[in-house]
Amino acid sequence: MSNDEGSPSGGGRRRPSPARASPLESEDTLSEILVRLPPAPSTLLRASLVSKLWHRLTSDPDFLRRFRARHRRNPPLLGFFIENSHGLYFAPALEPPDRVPGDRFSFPPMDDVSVGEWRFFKLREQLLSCRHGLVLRFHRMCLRGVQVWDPLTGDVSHISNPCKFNTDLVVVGEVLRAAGDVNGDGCSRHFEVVLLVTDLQNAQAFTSVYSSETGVWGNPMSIVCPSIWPVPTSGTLIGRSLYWSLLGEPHWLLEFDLDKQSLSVVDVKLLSPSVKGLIWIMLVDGVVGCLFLSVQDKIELWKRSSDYDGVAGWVLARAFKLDELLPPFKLDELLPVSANADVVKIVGID
Amino acid sequence: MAAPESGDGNNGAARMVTLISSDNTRFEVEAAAASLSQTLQLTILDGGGGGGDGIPLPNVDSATLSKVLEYCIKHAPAAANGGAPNATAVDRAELERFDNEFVNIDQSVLYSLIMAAHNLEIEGLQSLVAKKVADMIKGKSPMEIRRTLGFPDPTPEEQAEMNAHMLEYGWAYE
Repeated sequence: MSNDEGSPSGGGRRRPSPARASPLESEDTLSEILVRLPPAPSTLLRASLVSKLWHRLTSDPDFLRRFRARHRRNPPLLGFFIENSHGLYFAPALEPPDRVPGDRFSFPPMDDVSVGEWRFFKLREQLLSCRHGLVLRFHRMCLRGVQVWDPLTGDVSHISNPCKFNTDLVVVGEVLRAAGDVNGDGCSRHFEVVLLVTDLQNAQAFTSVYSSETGVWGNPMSIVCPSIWPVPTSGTLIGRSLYWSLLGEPHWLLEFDLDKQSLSVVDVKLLSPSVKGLIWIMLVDGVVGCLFLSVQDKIELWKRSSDYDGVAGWVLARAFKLDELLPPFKLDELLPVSANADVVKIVGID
Repeated sequence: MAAPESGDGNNGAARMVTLISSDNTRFEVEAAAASLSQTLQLTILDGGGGGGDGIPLPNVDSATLSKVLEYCIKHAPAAANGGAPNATAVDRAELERFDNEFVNIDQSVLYSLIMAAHNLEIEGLQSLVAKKVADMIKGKSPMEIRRTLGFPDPTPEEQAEMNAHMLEYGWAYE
């Protein structure tokens, strides 16, 4: 990072630099300025056109690492990956000029050999998880594996499945960056994939964890589900544990501790007869919480707590009237019962 | 002596050092304030800058050095408290108000400050002035950035390169 700084005229440039503009002609001082620009998608593209030096700096891997590290805590939400009857696509969420076009993030092909004749069966493709800038994808007909994709770098990893799936099995999964082993930009190079497979006939759940560091799946763990129809919803990562809720009532969570590698069932016993459906698992006041729809168009946030005996129970943390938060709609449409229909769903809460 | 007065009733108890600008103006300032500069810190720790010696700063003119020292004097007490973890909200607000006011300056002065802060390695000042320029150009198009910063208009060759790039990343220029 020390090419032509030090000389006020930016030595080596073919035109005289503007008067007193020397800090903008030196990589050291210029990088201090550009690294403080907001992390919007158009920012560095625009800066790159200002001059050749600016272009070189904004494409320098070291600078980009610093830029990412600096903004790691407040990255912009570029958009969503959406799964519907047309397949999977990217829907941008930002306004111009930061509206990244959908085809910028077109999905890479699944493992062609294994998908083979099934490649046109788009409906059987499932987007399992998006987290920490990674996307986890699965093709029901592709028995060979799951795919982890980094849309920003374009890196794709095909990972063999830990077991053979059949139609009696429900497969969900989560991807996350591994703890520790952090790069210069604050992101781990390695990732983990956790597959949760439930066997509806035998009411059993299995998990297995893949680590990109070791390149192998860990030993599968299994547990008997209390629910007679154990269809899990998408998972929530809280600390180093993943949580899935099981459809139906009473309400149960599956908890997988990534550090202890243990799978357990959590009974969400609420002292409330008014609750209708569990719609989201989230961090509430530092502990696991569940967001419920309740009668009278309310949303109730319950959190896990220990009572006097140290036994885990659940207490009401907050309640909201829905009509104060959202425009009018039919409450039933919020319940995550019909996974394939195009219905309104709460997909995130902050 | 163009040194800003910073006595505050210390009755000379604080150690003073002398800095000499490129145009030979001498500035007498508390060692604690001058030590915000990583470049000067070692020299001062070694006992330099005292008495009639003075530390020459051939890259910094007197107008810029006076401004730099204004910053250092204001920030030295907080820096002495190790980033002032126990500073009151009032103190922090006052420093913030000072910083905002401090960079409300002519562009050429700002550029001189960037170079001085960089050469003297004054971390807080480097950050403050860099942020100011970043704020001046954020959300602007490449042409607007060039004009804001006083760059000459692009040559036809540069314009052609810009057009090609904008064709590829048109969405970023809407």
